[in-house]
Amino acid sequence: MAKTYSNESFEELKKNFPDAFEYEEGYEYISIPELKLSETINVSALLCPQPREGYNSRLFFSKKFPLTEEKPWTEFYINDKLWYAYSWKTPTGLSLIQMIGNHIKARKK
Amino acid sequence: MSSKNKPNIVVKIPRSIFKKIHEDLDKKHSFAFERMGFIYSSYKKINRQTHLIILNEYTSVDDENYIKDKSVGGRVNSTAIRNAVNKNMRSHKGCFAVHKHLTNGIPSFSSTDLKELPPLPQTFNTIFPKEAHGLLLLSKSDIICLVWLPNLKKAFFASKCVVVGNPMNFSLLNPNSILNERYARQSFLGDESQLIIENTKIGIVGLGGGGSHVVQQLAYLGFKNIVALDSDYVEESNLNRLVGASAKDAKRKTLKAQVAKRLIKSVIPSADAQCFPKKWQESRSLLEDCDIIIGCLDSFMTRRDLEAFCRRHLIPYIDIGMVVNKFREGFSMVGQAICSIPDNPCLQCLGFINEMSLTEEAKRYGDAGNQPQVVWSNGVLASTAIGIVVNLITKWAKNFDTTFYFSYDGNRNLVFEHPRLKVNGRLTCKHYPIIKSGGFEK
Repeated sequence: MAKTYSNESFEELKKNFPDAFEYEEGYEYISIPELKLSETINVSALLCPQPREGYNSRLFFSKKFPLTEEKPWTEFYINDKLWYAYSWKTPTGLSLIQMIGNHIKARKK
Repeated sequence: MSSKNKPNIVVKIPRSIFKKIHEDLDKKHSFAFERMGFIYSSYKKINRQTHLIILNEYTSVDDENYIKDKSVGGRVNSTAIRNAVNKNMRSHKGCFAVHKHLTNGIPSFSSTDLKELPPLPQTFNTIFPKEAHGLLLLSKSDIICLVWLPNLKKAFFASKCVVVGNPMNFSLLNPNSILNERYARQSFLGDESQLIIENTKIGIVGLGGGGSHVVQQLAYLGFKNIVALDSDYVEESNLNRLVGASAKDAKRKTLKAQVAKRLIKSVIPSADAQCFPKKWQESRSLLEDCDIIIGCLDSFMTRRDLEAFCRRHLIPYIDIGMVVNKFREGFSMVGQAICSIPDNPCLQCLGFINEMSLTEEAKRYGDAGNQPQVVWSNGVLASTAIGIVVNLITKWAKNFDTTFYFSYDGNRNLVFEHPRLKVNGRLTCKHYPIIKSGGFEK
């Protein structure tokens, strides 16, 4: 599959998440083994930076965590694991790191 | 490990790679009578006894890397072995040395093979202890595989080697069979058909209208290894179509998985019917060593995820489903039976799943809603799926190398090949490259 993001964008993401790696399974994914959401919430995350299910990108988490606003969690099987995602639409034209930031902020909206 | 606890090792290989190996090993060499190659693998321990090995990448040995030795059919030099080790260093996969004997049926390693070849996998095992390594021997028709499991010094033969594609090939080490009068009328399926049926493990996800028909037909055909999953229980509104369910079940809220088990056991009491009231996502280990999975699901997202699971585990996935839509003054009833075989077009390639359908569904948070369902169309689609299964494993119809995508027109009672097959049926799937199958985390 042709990549939907630039190498520069991936390099920028790697500076923040050195363990991140690319993965492909029906869609392209970037796996982030450790993502610290708060002092108490550490998760693994999987970013799908391409449009799917009507979203410009999706961020999947290895476990559910409390959301400020009641949002339904949806389960997905990706990369041999069960992942959870809440509904959030990111704007178009974001870099990978901006996508992640936008998704994470949405949990408090 | 005692013989009682002998591991159950399942080895899977895509048909395209199987073909490539045969082509390579059949090539003439100027002095070597036998060629050798290396095939790389992903390994997963499924449970205490069952181990899954997926072979998904092959490299041949260059002509100049054979050395003259009259005592053996073919011998490779240290460069060939170093190349294989180097490749492993990069890919972190398991490695199997493969060669071929020009015999029919299950091949046997020669005494020279068993003396000379084991040091290879033993070396791989020392360098890459988290993967399984071994020796693969092909005959003209079958495979035998000797496996060194991670961190074990002793080698074991794989109990089942499956070539995944259309058709599927099963090489069984110690097959169980209950050949008897019961299956006399289906003996036209082939001399070994019942043996294959009894040793094929089938998964069914969704035990509603379609799934219950599937379960029933599998049991009558003689399938003895069945995993069936559905977290629902029987309700009054299911009794218009759920095969095997009674008014009592609706009253007692019997689990659909229990109904399925009862149905299978009533036909084959000795069957290994693993029927659980669980979502497939929570019971993935039960499905991982299935040979074929049939999905009878409502939602596109679940279908997509189950297909991804099947592709990773090199399992052909057969999808059935139907919808009834308002159309002009009345209704239209349409359905599908699609077989998604690894290395062949997937549900997205075939245009059955697309971003539009996924987007519509996501707006409803994945809820497909209560679709109208009727027993006869469920039966037609389930029968079509079973036809595909039997075709794939027994090869009786000799309908090889085709993609199965059948449409059902319920208004006209027609099942026909989907027109899109003409365009998309021969596509190489770009969504699930075969090299990405396996890839299990350790």
